[in-house]
Amino acid sequence: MSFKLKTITLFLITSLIPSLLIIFYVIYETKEKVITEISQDLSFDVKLVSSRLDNQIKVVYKDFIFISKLDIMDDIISADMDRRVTNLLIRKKEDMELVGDFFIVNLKNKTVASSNPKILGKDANLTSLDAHIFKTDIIATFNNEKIGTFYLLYSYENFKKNLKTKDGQGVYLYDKKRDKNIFKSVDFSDSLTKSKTLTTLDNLDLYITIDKKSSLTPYNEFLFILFLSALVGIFLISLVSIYFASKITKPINTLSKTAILISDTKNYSQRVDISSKDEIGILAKAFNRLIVSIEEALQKLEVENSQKLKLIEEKSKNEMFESLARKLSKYLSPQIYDSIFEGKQDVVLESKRKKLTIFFSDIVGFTDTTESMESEDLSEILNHYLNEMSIIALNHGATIDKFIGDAILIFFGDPKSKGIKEDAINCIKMSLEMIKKIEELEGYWQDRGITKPFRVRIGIHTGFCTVGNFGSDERMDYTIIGGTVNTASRIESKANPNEIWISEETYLLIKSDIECQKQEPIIAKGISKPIEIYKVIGYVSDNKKYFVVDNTLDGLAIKNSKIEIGDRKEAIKSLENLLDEIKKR
Amino acid sequence: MKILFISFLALNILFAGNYVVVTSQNSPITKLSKSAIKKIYLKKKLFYANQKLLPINLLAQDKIRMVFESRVLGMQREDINDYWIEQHYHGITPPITQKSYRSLSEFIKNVKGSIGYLSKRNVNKKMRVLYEF
Repeated sequence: MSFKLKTITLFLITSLIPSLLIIFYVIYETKEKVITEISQDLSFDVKLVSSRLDNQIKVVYKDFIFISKLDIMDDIISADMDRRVTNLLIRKKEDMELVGDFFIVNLKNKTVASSNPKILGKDANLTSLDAHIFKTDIIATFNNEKIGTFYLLYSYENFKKNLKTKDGQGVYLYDKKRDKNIFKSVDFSDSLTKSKTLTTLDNLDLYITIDKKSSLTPYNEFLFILFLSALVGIFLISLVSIYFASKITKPINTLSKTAILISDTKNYSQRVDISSKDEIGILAKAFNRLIVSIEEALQKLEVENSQKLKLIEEKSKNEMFESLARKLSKYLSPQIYDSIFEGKQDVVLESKRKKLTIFFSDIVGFTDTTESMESEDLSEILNHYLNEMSIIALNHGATIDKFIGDAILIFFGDPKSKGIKEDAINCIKMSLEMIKKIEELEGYWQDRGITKPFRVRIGIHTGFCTVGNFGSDERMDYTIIGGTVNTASRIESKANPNEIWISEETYLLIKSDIECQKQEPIIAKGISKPIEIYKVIGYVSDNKKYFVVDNTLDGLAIKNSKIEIGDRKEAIKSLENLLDEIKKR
Repeated sequence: MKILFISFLALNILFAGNYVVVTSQNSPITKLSKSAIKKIYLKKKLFYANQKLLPINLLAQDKIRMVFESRVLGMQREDINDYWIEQHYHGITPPITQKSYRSLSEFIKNVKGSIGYLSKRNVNKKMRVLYEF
């Protein structure tokens, strides 16, 4: 049930209940009261009419007595020979407009005077009539002796003039002696009747009767008007209820429509326009404030979301870049990677001349060694080798330029440089560790089916070369180019397996730290002058020196060929002991 | 008025002795003097030998009454009226009246002690003449 309908119903109930109660009260209570009232009115009318009749009788009787006491009544003694009494009675009858007659009988019961001269001289006839007979003795004025009897035959017709009452009422007399109703003209089937015995004539009862149905006509008319008023009232109350309910619910509907509109359109700029100062107006203001709060909150949320989205996008981009960078890092040397990603070097086609130490390595007879292997195994072995080498290179701050099959191109001095000399030393140190690592991994590779151990040639050269990005705008490589690179490659190609050959330019930079052995100069294709070559022996230190024992000695196999010499004399002594031991065997 | 009075006097003289005061034959009253009759009609004398007396007048305009008042009572009508007005306050009423000599006769016949006056020629056997005027 809608609020409007509820309001209308509430209006109708609250306004109709009292009206209906009044109507029911009127119907069930007032009717009895009306009947009682009518009955009381009837009683009053009976009293009034009976009082009028009694007064009429009293007046008549008074006149009757008065006449009887007149001096002229003495004429009865002379039988009213002069007809003075008779004339008096006739005049009196006329004056009283009497229906009936006066007559006087003497002591011999002869009528001597009468208002009806026809009965004079006759015996008094007092047969029963619809009349009351008043009777009194006539006393002589002079001696107080009865001289006759005075009668008044008073017809009930005389009462008619005072039996008039209200319309709709029936009035009649009841003669108890004769058990006869007089003047009864109506007989109602359902009537209200009141009666009273006349005070002056106790044989007569006065009855006033009224038709109950017709007596209730005003009441019924009142009820009709009441019902009509109630209907009109209901109609008016309904109209008023609808008007006020509409007035009350209109702002609520506006409120709900606005709420639905906001909900549907998400347009929080909508406002409810209700200017009333009642509770609805307060609700509307509260609603508007709520919408304003929601709008502000949403705007704030939107800004925050936008900011968060930007952050997320940035984070996502960063993550993507990081992921990309991580992937790229595998293809770039960490120095190049860091240099690019730390913004020290733009990814543009630019290059520079710089003095670098260049490292070249190659596995000796790699093709022959691996030609019998499956490609998967070959990839695993090669990757393992390159991975191990890469770790060592990175640990020493090298820039891995590229892997060319089993060959590795590494340089020191760009993008990070610790100085030309330090870069060259680091390169040699890296090379020594690589050789050592390869020897360590020999057993591992043998377990993987490499029967002939890996041996590498390493060539190192220091010189100016061009370093930077080369290629096109769409595809470029960070690499080095120049004759220095070629020289390093040529040195490597001439080096013996598991030896580190370096050019003279490099040697001059590291000789204080690395012990080297001069080799025969090499003639390289494309290079006009012979290249001075030095073989790296090991570190130069106070107590410790490294040297490499060639395991190709006839009749002797030395595993893990790096030999560390602490005390030279002690070392020679130990080797002599070993020689003696071999001899003994 | 003078003419009427003169006429009345002439009639009075002319018809003197033609009227009588009567009572019934069974009345104990046998004879009354003029003064006694006056006292009775002025209700100064009410009984005669234990018999209550009842004077009867004719109507006021009756000529015999006028003669009676003049000859017997010796009073003018005005004096008589004044007298009865005064007596009224003492509770004494004037004599009763009868219209005609016939009713007077009937009255006298029926009421013992009643006294009336009438023309001498109307006296019957049931009456006793008490005084002539």
